[in-house]
Amino acid sequence: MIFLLILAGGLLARFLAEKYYEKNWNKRLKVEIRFQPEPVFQGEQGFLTETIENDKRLFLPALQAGFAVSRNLSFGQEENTSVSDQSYKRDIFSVAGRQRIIRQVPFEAVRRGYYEICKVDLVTRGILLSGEMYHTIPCSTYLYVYPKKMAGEKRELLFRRISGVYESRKKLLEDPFLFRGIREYTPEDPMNRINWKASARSGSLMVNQHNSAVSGNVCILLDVEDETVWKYEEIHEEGIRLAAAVAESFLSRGIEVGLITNGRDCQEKSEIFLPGQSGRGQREKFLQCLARIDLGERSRKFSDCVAEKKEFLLAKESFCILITKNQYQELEAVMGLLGEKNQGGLWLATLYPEMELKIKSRRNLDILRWEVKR
Amino acid sequence: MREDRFLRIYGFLHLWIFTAGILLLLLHAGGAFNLRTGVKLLLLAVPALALREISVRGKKIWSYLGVSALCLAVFWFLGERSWERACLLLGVLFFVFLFFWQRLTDNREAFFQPSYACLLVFALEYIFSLAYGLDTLGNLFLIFTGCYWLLILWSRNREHFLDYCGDYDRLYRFPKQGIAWGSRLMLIFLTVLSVGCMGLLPFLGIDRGILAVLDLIRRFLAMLLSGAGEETEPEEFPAEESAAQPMVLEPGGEPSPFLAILWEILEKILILAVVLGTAAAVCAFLFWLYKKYNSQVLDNGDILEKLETPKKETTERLKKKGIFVPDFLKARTPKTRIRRAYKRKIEAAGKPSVFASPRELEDQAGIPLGEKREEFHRLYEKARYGNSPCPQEEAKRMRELERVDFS
Repeated sequence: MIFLLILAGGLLARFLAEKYYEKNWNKRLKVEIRFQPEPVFQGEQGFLTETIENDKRLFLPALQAGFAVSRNLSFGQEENTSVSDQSYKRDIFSVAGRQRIIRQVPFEAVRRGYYEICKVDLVTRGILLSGEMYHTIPCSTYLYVYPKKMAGEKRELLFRRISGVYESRKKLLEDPFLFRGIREYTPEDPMNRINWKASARSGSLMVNQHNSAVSGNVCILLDVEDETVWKYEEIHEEGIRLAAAVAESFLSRGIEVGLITNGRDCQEKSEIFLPGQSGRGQREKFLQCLARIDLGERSRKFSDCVAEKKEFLLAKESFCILITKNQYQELEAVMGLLGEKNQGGLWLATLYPEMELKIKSRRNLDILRWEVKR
Repeated sequence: MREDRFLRIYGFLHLWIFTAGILLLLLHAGGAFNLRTGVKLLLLAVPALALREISVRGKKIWSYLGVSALCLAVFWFLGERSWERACLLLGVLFFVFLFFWQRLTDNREAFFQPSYACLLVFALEYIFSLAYGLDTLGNLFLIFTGCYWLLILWSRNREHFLDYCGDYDRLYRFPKQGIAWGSRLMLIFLTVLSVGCMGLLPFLGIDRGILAVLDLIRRFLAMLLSGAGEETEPEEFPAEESAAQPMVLEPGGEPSPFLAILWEILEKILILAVVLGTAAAVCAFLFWLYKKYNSQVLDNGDILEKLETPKKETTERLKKKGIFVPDFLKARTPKTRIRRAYKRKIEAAGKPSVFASPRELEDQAGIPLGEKREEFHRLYEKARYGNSPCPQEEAKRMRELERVDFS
């Protein structure tokens, strides 16, 4: 009998210990995964912070925390990630009682996008490191990866031309009531611009300068539609990068910039539209909108999309900059109309070197070609 | 085979305990058991170690045969009587054949791990010793059984640890040392608990209780089978079992032996508890010092911080568990009273949503819009989110508003 009681004692001890551990291991255990609060640009490095907080005396010799995140965030070879449809990352911690462990994991943002982590799966081993116990903790963290910043001589050249088109448009219609300043007379100036009093004072002919009568706001029209089954993702990505760069350039000068695109939101699946505004907040909103465009979603014909917003664009007299690879008639017609009514417009054709630019510049609609490297 | 140092030690211990148990029984049966023989049995660990190492590392069979012959010769000379010699040689021969078999089959784990099946052998040995009235040997087998149980636990723990490390060791920042440390600590706790349970269960006299219950069942069945009307004579209990009977106090007589035994048991439990408590307190103090020293350290690139629980949280937790919290520990500020009154009022209409704002909570509680609700809301918001202190009057007013039926 005593022999059996000794064995029963051993069994009882193990049973009690295992039950206690099973019941209590996930109590007062907090696991938090957080992306860095600041967004990153494509190609840059970011940080992910894993925080394990065990606010009880029971320690967890081996705790595995795993979560899934888009494969567009590259954690590198050494950071315990298996990549298939998503990146599945798992880390093992040994957590003592009443301890907080903070681990920072660097990653590289390979592609632009909006990335979320919704849950963390916890796995631990039993009292003798045998058997597995699971627990899932909901989590909510997100990161915006903005389009890659553009740089180089080619970009500078393009931006000078865009600025030139924009500024020349402003000079077409000057408002006689918006006085800007006085400068010296040139033979091209009409006689009625001469400021006689200022000329008398200075001893040479001086002319008045006036501000533009047209609206200063810019609307970027971004077309990400593929007309055929063939996908031109590289071209669309370049278009998105161009849109970001153009918007940043105008916003930095205090000019209102808006966005109309047929690209769909990766979360809400609706077409993205951002009304024109200026300021730093607008830059963030603009870049977030671009980051959220999901090229995997089917886009509708962009001429229809612009035609729908035509009244809005005409009412605001926006200077429209179309970024597209498509060159069909309906789009040309609607852009021609907008250019004519709003005293100018710009068509930025993003094409591979071997692609032909079919449309020609006309009055109030300038065409620029931007070659995308394969 | 995993050539892990700890597993090898456990393997040798398992072999030795198993062999020594059987040899003890044989020696006792032949009347050759004494203290010197016990020491010789301890020496059996040497041939086990030597033979296994040679079977693993040796390239030629001659070295193994040579060492086997040497061990047999040594133990032949160690034995004083023929029966003793035979028993010791049997032990050595068992090792010789076991390791030879391991080498032949290339299975280094064959009978080299503690297993639950071996407990059956200990059970048989114990039954044998009981049957022949060998009390000392029986107690020795009980100790062997307890040790063997612990050996199984340690061995399983080590195996699982090695398996776990084998699965995940390639992971970056894998905290192998931390896991080993935690696992050992867990094992120590489990060992202490197991020893406590194994020592306590037989000590509590449960066996007597079980025997008494079995006897009762036996008598009840006998009564049922022989007919209800039959009178059964009260059975005489043997002297050692009388303690299990209910105590019968006679006026002026001696206290019941049951009471005496119970008192003895309680006394021992108390002493044990005090000793264990002191040991636990010393360990806890040392652990506290260690943790205080390592309150924030960098380990493996991770930041490790020690968590401090605020006193307020502790008291609230105790309260939730239904543990008495003295009044002086409770917060009695007007702010707390206002918040409690608000909570009571909201909860009176049912359990509110965790994520709702105060206004939503009030809507959910069905409090209609009006001046009183505005006041109720304003007082709560000031207490909950405001930085300025709340006067006693506001707490009183909140209490009044709590009683008001807004509808």
